[in-house]
Amino acid sequence: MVYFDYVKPPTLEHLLEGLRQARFEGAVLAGGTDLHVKIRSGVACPRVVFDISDLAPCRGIVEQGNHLRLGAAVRMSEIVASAAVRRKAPALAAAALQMSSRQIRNRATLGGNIVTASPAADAVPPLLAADATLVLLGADGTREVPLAEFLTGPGKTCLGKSEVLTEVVIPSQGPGCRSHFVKVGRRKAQAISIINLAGRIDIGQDGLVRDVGIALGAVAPTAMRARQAEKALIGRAPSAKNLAEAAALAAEECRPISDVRATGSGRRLLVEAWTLRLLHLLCETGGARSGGRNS
Amino acid sequence: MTRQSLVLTVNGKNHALDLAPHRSLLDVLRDELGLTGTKKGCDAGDCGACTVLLDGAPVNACLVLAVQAGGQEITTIEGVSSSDGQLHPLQEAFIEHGAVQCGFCTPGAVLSLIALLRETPRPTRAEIQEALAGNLCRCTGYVQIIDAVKSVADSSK
Ligand SMILES: Cc1cc2nc3c(=O)[nH]c(=O)nc-3n(C[C@H](O)[C@H](O)[C@H](O)COP(=O)(O)OP(=O)(O)OC[C@H]3O[C@@H](n4cnc5c(N)ncnc54)[C@H](O)[C@@H]3O)c2cc1C
Ligand code: FES
Ligand code: FES
Repeated sequence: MVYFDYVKPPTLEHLLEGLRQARFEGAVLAGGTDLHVKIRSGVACPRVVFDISDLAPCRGIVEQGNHLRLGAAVRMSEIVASAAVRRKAPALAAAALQMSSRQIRNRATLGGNIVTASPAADAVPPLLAADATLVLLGADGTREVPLAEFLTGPGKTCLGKSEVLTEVVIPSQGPGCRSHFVKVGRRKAQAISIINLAGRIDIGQDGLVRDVGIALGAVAPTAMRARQAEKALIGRAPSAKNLAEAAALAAEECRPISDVRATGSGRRLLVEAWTLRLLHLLCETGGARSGGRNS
Repeated sequence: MTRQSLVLTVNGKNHALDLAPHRSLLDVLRDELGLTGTKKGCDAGDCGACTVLLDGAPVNACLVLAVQAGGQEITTIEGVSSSDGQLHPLQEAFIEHGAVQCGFCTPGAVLSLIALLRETPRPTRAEIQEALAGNLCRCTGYVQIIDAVKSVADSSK
């Protein structure tokens, strides 16, 4: 059993000061759905945990101009229930809904999902496809880091030891834009994704792809953008042939490993098939605006 | 390690406790308060046997620190029957439909489903399955559990 102290800092200043004093032995506690499991299995052994689950600056979902700002301690169940998220970031709403179980969604936070940096984290592809940025607060003040730069490897991020993630900022999806999330797992609920993916597309009046973001999870050390596939689509018509070409490029550029859930080559096949399906869903006129369940 | 004093409100009753902060709500319910209806299956969020309601919302008690639950209304399986010992209608329906076999998953499943019925009094089978996704049952195959919920939902107006 690992013993630790529990502190609920009333302000961000108290939190930063606490983390500074604890040096390398402090841990931020948000929903605890990853941290407690890590502590019990001996992967983490903090001397003190700092509970941010009620800390006001890390809470709330706000629409601000063309952006949606989500506090790091916003829970998955709050994302699922938020009309603003469903409207402005539907792929994120879909990912939150497909995560695990109600019990987990009632605790798990967005920030925890990002900082854990699992290559299979479900909230990450929608954020990556949408070019989300993270607000990090440390002793030297705040810095904004694109999510793509924040994630550096499995379980690794550029977050400093005494830094915290306070907010996630997502450019709002415009009226002509569509986005979608797909989770491929062994069963619908309570399963780590074999792969997951999210896409966002903006098709202009001329019928050509103006902008596109495709993010793939669990097929590389971190969730990744399928840049080659995106490049192949921009400025072109979303024809069946062009979409198939993009899907093939996505399968080529991902770098999957074999593990208990699937082989690397199996994952590559899944990436091609599901990227194609995702792109077709995105380019459909009318119909679903956010991802449904599947397996 | 510094012990912490707090009051836990469980099934409407206040308990003043002095706790080591690393202890899970699950362990404190079972070992300090003797409320052993809440089960420990995996201690890792996977099985749902430890499901309790925190301010009405189902959570895995194994993944919540007891010190985090101060000031919130905690409902365990011991708190769902009426004060005269009458079982909750959903518990009656579980018995009627053979939805209890070994019974290890039952307290958690009942709490998840009570939360569902509060929100959605007449759930579809798909909604029941979704609400049960975090409660593993190795015995019944779930069909009897879903039938039990359906029977309660159908008998309520
Ligand atoms: C049974 C089960 C099923 C799961 N299913 C899924 C699933 O389907 N999909 C999925 O993606 N994940 C899943 N997870 C993993 C987990 O629930 C998510 O990653 C969750 O979002 C983590 O959030 P949390 O708030 O619980 O994080 P915590 O456990 O509180 O924290 C996780 C880590 O991040 C750090 N941290 C948290 N917040 C901050 C912050 N604001 N600033 C700095 N550091 C911070 C903590 O110190 C810790 O190291 C599952 C977990 C369990 C136990
Ligand atoms: S004991 Fe808590 S989920 Fe299994
Ligand atoms: S009745 Fe045995 S696990 Fe459900």
